[in-house]
Amino acid sequence: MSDLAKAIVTVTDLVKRFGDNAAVDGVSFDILEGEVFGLLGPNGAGKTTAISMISCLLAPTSGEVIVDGASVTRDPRKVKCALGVVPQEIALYPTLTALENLRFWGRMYGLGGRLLEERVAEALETAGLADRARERIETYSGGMKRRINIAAGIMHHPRVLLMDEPTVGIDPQSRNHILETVKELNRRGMTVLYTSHYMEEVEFLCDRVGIIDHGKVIALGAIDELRRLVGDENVISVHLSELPAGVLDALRALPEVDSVTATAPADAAEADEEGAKPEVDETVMVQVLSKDSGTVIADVVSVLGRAGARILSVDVREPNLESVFLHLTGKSLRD
Amino acid sequence: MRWLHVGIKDLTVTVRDRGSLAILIAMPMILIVILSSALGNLASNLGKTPVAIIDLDQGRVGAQVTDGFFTDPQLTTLFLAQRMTDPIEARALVAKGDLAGALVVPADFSRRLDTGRSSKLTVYTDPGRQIAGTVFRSVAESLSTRVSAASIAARTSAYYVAPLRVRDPGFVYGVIGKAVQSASETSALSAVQVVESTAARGTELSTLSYYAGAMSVMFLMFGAMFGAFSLVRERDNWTLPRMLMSPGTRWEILGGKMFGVFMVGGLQFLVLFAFTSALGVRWGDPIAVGLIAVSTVAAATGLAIFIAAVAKTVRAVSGVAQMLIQFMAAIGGSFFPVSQFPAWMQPLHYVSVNGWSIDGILATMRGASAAEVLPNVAALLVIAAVFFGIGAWRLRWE
Ligand SMILES: Nc1ncnc2c1ncn2[C@@H]1O[C@H](COP(=O)(O)OP(=O)(O)O)[C@@H](O)[C@H]1O
Ligand SMILES: [Mg+2]
Repeated sequence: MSDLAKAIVTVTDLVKRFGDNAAVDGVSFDILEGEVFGLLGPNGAGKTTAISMISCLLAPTSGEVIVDGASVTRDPRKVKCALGVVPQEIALYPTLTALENLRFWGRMYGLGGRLLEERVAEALETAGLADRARERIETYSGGMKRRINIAAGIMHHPRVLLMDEPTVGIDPQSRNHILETVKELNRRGMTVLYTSHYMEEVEFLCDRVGIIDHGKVIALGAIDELRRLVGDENVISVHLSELPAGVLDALRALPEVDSVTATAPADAAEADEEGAKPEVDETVMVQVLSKDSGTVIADVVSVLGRAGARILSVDVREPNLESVFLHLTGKSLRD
Repeated sequence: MRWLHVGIKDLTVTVRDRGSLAILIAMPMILIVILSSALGNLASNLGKTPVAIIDLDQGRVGAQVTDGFFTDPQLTTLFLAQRMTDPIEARALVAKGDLAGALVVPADFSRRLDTGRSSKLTVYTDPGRQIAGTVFRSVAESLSTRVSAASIAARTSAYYVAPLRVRDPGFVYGVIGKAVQSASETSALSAVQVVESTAARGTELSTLSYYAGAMSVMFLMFGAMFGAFSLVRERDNWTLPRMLMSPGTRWEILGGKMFGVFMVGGLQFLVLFAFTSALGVRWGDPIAVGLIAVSTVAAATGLAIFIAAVAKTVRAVSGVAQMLIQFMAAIGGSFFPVSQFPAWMQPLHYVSVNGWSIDGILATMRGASAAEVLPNVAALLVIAAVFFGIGAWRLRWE
């Protein structure tokens, strides 16, 4: 992605207040033509509210969004035509079949006749569900619903696709399918805004990333640029069978330790759509950020050992977006 | 054309939902059959029979005939009598079905009888309520007999009053038979002749016809409730926001939702119309029925938007809708005919969709033309516009 690439979406000082609460609080960023731009932030950061304003669903309290030269406030129709949207919720009709849903959403984007049928077939192909097109959405698994949810947003070949946490609550296989789909759509020339609270997804997909927290973009840039924000710090991840009381404070008290967080391990933390967790997992992931991981790791292990915790694994890594977030906010993305 | 696609989508979703179909179409069918067979002929079995007494005589003998309708405890349990002064107006009310009958005592009644001449009483009855009309005529005859021959009157009054309080159609028929027989026996002795005149045109309105109209209208209101459900649900599960993010305008989408509710209502009406017609209900002039049906469905559509705007959640929709629907059904005559209500309550039925609609349907069933039901159509369209106006103004989109 060269810096000379043209911005197809420009967000300037965007604000949305609900009463006293600013859900989006002065956000600015550009999305360049042809890139996958990531908006990474924890739940409640303001991602959905931002996407709702870009897609003309919500009127901004102040600020401006320009999509493909058109303003969301002055020319929403042109903005909407240039955009495809994949909402965070599965916005489909459960008692209609996948085919019927796609035909309906295609018509809402002005498609009809032969072209509609072609695009529906193409979208079903992309979703990998052509053979189950005549089944009702309510009979689908969570992952399949998510795939049709995406298919419904791409039939009109939008210039920019807004995807709001399209992988929430699904099995790893469907998630991989979706991530590959996003890559493929981008390869075919679609610009993508991808929001998530999974840093792995954003690292895998995105050219540039905005990190958002409490309605503000706290960091913005290419992934390597963001990593450099953490400096030469490394992340020590310790997988524990349980979290003994007071152990986090003990770790924070160690010299050379910059910050400490504890989270449930990735994936297991999220219940899927049907409400069942993939497996019962009471283990804890403790992450310690330090410039001198080589020395600190011994101290960390001994503190944990004295506290009586059973260590399942220890791992030292280069900083990732998770550590960037940790470094900037002192908390984990999945808190 | 987005509105068309949204409407067709909504119709498809509704038709595919067995629960909705059961409530919107099967339930009214069942209720129409149950209510009409359980209640039999309305006029003879439900409440008091409304009649008008017009005493143009204002003399002693006229009072002897008419006072009984207000003072005789047995007659007052049977009839809800009101005094009127204009026979033409009374006749019109009977023709409309608002009254089951009217008794007119001519102006020279006392003078003629006092001078040994004969006179005539006029009775208007509604052929749509044969039983009530016949009973009323018999009573009038008996009363007139009492005037002309007190001894015979004593004998006749004994049989017509006592059994009539039993609400059993078979019994009532028996009584009428006796009443008619007695009338013919006593007429020879009578100086007063009762001239019966049919006030209305159309055919008999059976309980079946009544409930065919009343229940269809009530369940069109439930159709509106389902329309409101659909709007609120689409708002919650992001299909409405998704539509709003597509290039369509709010008005296209709201228009589509309304079109969907309208088509569901139209479908409901067509099915119920076909079903009750097969059972023998004659709805009347197709154009008049069509006008009433379309304007009623329009009012229900407006009601759907109104409910969705007032209620924020699916649960609230259900609460608001049931309250509104039951209120309108009760005062509008979906449960019991408005003519059976106390007089002070009757005008209230015009604040409901049901009142205007049932009023119109009963008129077409009695033979009214399209032109004659235009006031009802206009009133329903005004209600539709008011509901829609408030609804569209207050609707929360996101
Ligand atoms: N319609 C609304 N009314 C009031 N508050 C809202 C509304 N939508 C979102 N919020 C608040 O705005 C903040 C950001 O929400 P959201 O944009 O959904 O975050 P995210 O998508 O990043 O999880 C949250 O605190 C949320 O409670
Ligand atoms: Mg969100």
